Amino acid sequence: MNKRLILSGSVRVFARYKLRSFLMGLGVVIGVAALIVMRSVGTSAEDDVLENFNRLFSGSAMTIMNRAQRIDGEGQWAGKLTVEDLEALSAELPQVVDFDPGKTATREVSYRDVNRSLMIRGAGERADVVMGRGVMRGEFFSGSEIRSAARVALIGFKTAESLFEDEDPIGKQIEIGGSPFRIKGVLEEHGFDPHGMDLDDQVHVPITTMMRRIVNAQYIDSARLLLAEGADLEVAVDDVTDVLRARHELGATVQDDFSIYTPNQVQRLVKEANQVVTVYLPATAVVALLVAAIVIANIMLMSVGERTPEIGLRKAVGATEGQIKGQFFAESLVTSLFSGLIGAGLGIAIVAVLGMHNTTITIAPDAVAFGLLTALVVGTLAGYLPARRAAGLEAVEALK
Amino acid sequence: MIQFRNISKTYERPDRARLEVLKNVDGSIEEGAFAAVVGPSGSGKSTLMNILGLLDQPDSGTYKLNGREVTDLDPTERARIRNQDIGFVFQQFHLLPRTSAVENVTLPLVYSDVPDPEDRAVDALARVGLSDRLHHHPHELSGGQQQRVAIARALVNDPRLILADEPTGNLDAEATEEIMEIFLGLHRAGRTIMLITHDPDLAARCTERLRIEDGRLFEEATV
Repeated sequence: MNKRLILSGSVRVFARYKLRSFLMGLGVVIGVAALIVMRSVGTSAEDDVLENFNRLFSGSAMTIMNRAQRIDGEGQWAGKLTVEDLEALSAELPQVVDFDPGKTATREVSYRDVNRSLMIRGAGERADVVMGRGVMRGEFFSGSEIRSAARVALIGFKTAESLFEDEDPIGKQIEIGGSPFRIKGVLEEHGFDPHGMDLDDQVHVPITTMMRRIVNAQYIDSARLLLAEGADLEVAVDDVTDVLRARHELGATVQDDFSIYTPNQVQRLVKEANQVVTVYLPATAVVALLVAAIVIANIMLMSVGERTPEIGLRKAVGATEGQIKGQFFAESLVTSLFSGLIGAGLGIAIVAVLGMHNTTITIAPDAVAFGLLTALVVGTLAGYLPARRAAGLEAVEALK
Repeated sequence: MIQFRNISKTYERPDRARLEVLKNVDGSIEEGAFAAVVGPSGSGKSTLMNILGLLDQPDSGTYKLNGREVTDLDPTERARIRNQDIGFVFQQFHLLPRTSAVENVTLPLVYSDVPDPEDRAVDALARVGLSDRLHHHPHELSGGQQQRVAIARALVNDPRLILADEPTGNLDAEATEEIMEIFLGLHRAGRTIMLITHDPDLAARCTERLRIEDGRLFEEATV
């Protein structure tokens, strides 16, 4: 059997039956093109969202929360997380490059005759970097202010509006829990946190001031760690857990007295939400490709009927059933693969045009590979029945 | 070359009536013979040719081709024999449409392993006098030319036996003569030919005649 002639024969079928081949392949062309376009646009949108997300969460980071129970009526939380824990983590773990402790409490804040009950947050020297939130006016806490537990404060812009209206708050003195604090600056706008807390209506003070002068506590509520670029989050979570468990002297059977959250969990949520665009929409294109397979099978079955004399003749000149089967399989495969290539070209071209208008849209290589693979599957599926029918034709009957 | 004994073939028609096409037919064709098969329409001529060409199988009987028993061979081996040892020529030519003469003639070589199949196809077309029509499609050729392409296709694998089923049935007198001349030339070159025909003049020019009537075979004396 001459493989070259078999192959060139199935390619030549295109030329012999141009319109029919065109119609056969059209479904695959459209299906593969649609698959590539939808998947590319979908994943590009996802990348876009994740990029925004990563900017907000400044690379790899993790949040440690004290897992504890309220033990008195003073808003005190028992837990064991301390600033010293954070210093130890920073010293022992190379991937921990920065940290910020957090401690919050609600206190009365007053300026002249305005009194408000506000969230007070103790922040470290590096909070502007670690939390990604500096000041829009005035100055951030200095290192010496943190060390000396200075009575200085930063306020959210909404707090500034409610206490000072049109006055410039910087340099003014307010009272927090009855003690005087000097306002150093107004915090950058930050919106709401996931729990609905308005981050623009709160007061920040140095963490030391918070611990010693406002709540008189030893333990912090939470901390945020910044990790080195490229650090493995999973490994980092394990390392931090080990260090904290050792420092808190937790026995093997005792549960962690802290919880660790990473952006991965949030990322997963974002990806899940995006599956509609990246998975389910392209899946409809795959359904379209299956329909294309049915169309090809249908047209080829008709073509087997139409080409019955040809099949009879091929058998007369020595084709075996297997070779006839192979020929129709080859025709189906060549048709769908060729159409798949055209569809891929079309899809890539469309994505390129879309990319000119929206630079975040780029081609998804996995969609191109998957599209071509699907075309191959379509060709195999579509060729099966016609090939079997053609091979089963009796030469004598076919030649009548 | 060909020996067959007690060949029977019965078709069951859709109305369940049984049609006995060949009834215990015996016969033989010598190597190098140019045998005409004559008889009325529906008498079983084509059925016999299909059986001798391994396109169809008899219900009973034995058939030796080139001294080899071929009745019970498996389909793949039968396909190989059709490819290598037998060339078919049909009344309707059976050329592939929208396909050049060379490609049509190359068709049997798709199923055999020969070097330079196109060269052999060109040679075969030269032997039937169509060197100037190599790349014509069937619809650009006259009936006689189309049948010559079909003969070239039958010759391309150089088979010892040519089976022709009313090859001139669709042709005018002039084309019929052209085709007959080609067959006579092949006969002179030593090929065994079996020619089914309704034309007594053609039959008379063959070396022997087999007459089929009502499913039975008679060998006619050479005139």
